[in-house]
Amino acid sequence: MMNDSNQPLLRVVNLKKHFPGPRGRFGAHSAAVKAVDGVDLELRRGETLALVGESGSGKSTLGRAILQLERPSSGQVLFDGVDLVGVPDKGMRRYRRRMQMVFQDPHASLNPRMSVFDIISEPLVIHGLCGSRTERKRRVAELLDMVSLPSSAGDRYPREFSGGQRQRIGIARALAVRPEMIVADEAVSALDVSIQAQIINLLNAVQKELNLAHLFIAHDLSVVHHIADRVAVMYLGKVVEIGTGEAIFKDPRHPYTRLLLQAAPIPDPRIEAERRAAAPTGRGDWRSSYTAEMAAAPLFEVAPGHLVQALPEVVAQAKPYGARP
Amino acid sequence: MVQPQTKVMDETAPPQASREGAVLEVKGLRTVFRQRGVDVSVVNDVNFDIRAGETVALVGESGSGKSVSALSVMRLVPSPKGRIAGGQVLLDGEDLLRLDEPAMRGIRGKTIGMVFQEPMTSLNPIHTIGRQLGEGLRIHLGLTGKAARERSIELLDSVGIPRPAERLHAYPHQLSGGMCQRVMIAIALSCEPRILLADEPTTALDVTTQAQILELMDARARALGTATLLITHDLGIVARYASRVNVMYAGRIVEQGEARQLYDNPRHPYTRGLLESVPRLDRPRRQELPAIEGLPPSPGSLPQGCPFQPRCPFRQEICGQPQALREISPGRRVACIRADELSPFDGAA
Repeated sequence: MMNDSNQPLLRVVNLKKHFPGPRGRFGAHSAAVKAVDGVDLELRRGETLALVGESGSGKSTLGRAILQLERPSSGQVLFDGVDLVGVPDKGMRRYRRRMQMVFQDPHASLNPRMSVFDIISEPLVIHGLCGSRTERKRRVAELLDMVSLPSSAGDRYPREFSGGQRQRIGIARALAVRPEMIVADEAVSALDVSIQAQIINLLNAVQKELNLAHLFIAHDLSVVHHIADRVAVMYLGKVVEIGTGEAIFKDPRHPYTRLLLQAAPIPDPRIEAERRAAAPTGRGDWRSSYTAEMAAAPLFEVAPGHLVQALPEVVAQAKPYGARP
Repeated sequence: MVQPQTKVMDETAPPQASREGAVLEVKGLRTVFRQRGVDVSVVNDVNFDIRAGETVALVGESGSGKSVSALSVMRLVPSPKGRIAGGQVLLDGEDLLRLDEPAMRGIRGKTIGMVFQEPMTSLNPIHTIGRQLGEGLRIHLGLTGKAARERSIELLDSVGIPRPAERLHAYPHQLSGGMCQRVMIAIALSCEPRILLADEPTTALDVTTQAQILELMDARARALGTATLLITHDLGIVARYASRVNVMYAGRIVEQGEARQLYDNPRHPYTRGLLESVPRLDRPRRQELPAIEGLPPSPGSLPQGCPFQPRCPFRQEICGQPQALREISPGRRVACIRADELSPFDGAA
C-alpha cells in the first residue's frame, strides 16, 4: 500500500446510472429514470465524505454504482487508479475485498442461520484470507474486540443481539478483510439515540485507526455534521453542492441545501421557537421553480473546494472566483 | 380484536375531578403483556395530561412503552396478550377505561383522532381516499352524498393536497408517502377531535416533507383547539413542537416538565444522557459523542429499583430502591433520588 497520499483513493468521473422508465400500456418504456446523472467526486484515505439528500436523490444508487453492485450506465469509477467500470465481474473480487459496505438494517443484512463467528469469517473464506481455522479464530476475536463485543459473541446468533450490537457485528464483518474504503448506507439511522452515539463513535474510531476512506450515505444532517469532513448534497441524481462540512453547514449556497438545513430540527426549544418565528411556514415551493435548465447547470466554484450548481442566484451572490473548467 | 374492558383492576384510586383545562388526563396507567405465562408491565404507573390546543410529547426509545401508552388511551392494546391492568384515562373527566366497546367505537376516530408512522400501511390499499375520508364523516357526523363529498374536498384542501376533487378517486399507492400522511391527518382531524394521537407521524418521511407535515399538523390542531399527544424518539421534533415533555424509559415516565425547563436543565440522568448524545447542527463537532453506555433493559427483566441504574453514571447504592416520580418544582417531576445533586447542565460539554 505504497500510495501517494495526495492521490485520492476514489475518483468518480461523470458517473451515470439510468434505469428504464416504467412500462406503459403497450409495453414501451417511458423516459429513463436518471437515478445518478453525471456525478464527480473524490475521496481520500482517512477522509469521510457524506452523501446527503432525500429518498430518490440517488445517493444510495451512487453508493452501489461505486461498488459496482449496480453497473453504471456510463462514466468512470477510479479506485486506486483502476477504472472499475471496465473490470469484468470475474475480476471484481480483488477490488471487492478493498471496498466494503455497512448497511442500514443490521437485522436484514445478517443471515439469521449463521453464527456470528461464521458471519464475520465468511468474507475471510471467500477472499482466501486466514487459511486455517485457528487463524480465522484469532482474526474474529480481534475484530470482536475492535467493535467492543465479548469474544463469546462468536458462538451466538444475530437474533440474540440488540440492534446496536448487530450493527457492531456488521461493522466487524466489513472490517474482516482489511478494506481501504467503507461505504456506509444509513448505517446509524435505524438505531435509537443512545445507541446511535455509540455506533458513530465506533465508526469514527475504526476509521482513524485503520485510515479508512469513508463514504457515509445519510439523510440525518446532524449526524453528518458530526461525522463528515466533506459533504456532497444530492438532488435529482446530481451533486448540487459539495464542500467541507464547515462550508456546507456554515455557508450553504444552494437553495436545496438551505431547505434541508432549515428543515432539520435542533434539540433546543428556544432555538426552535426563534427559527419558526423567522421562517414562515408553507415553504418548499422552491422545488416547483427548479427547471430542467437549472438542473443542467454545471458546478461553480464559489470558494476553494466549495462547488455549487451555477443557478443564477448562486452566481449572482458569489464573489467572482471563477467557474470550473 | 379488541376486548371490552369494563372492569378496572385498580379500584384504589377514586375518580377525581379533571385537572383544570385538561382534555386528556392519564392517571396511574399500567399495561401488561403476557410473556411465558407471566404478566410483564410494559407501561407502569404513567401519568400525564394535555390541555386543549396544546402539544405534549411522549419521548423515548424503542421499547420504552410510548406507543403502548397511546394504544392504551385508545383501548387498542392487542388482546388477549396485552391488557390494561390499572389506572384511568380521563377524557374531559370521563374514564374511557370504564366504557363498553360500542361506546368506545364512537370515540375512536371522532373524539380521538390518530396518525401513525406508516401512512401506506395505515390507509386501506383497496379503497379510494374519498371512501376512507367519507367513512368517518358518515359514521360520526352522519354526512352522506354531496355533503360528505364537499366536506372531504375541504379537508384535503386544508392539508395542502393539490386538486383535492381528483384525489378523492385516487388509491393510496398512487400518492407519495408525504401525500398519504397528509390524507391520514385529514382523516384524523375530519371530525374535529378533542385529542390527536400522533405516533412517530413523520419518521418514515424525508426531512423536508417531515417539516411540512409537522407544521401542517400543528397549525390544524391549533386551529381546532385539539390536544395533541406527539409520540417520537426525535428530540429535535419535540423541541420544535411540544410545550411539555414526558421522557419515558423502560415503561415509566422518568422526567416530566415544561419543554424549555427540561431541555435547559434536565434533572434525570437519562434525559441528560439523551440530550448530550445527540449530535447538534448548531454546535461545533466533538471528537466523541458522550454516549450512554450499555443497553435499555427488556420489560421482562428490569433491574432492581431505578430501571436506568445499571447505565447511570450517577448511580449509588440507594438507586437499587424503587424511585417514584416526585415533584421538584411546579409541574416538574423527576424519578431520580439524586436529581438535586446533578451539576448544572451544559449541553455543549
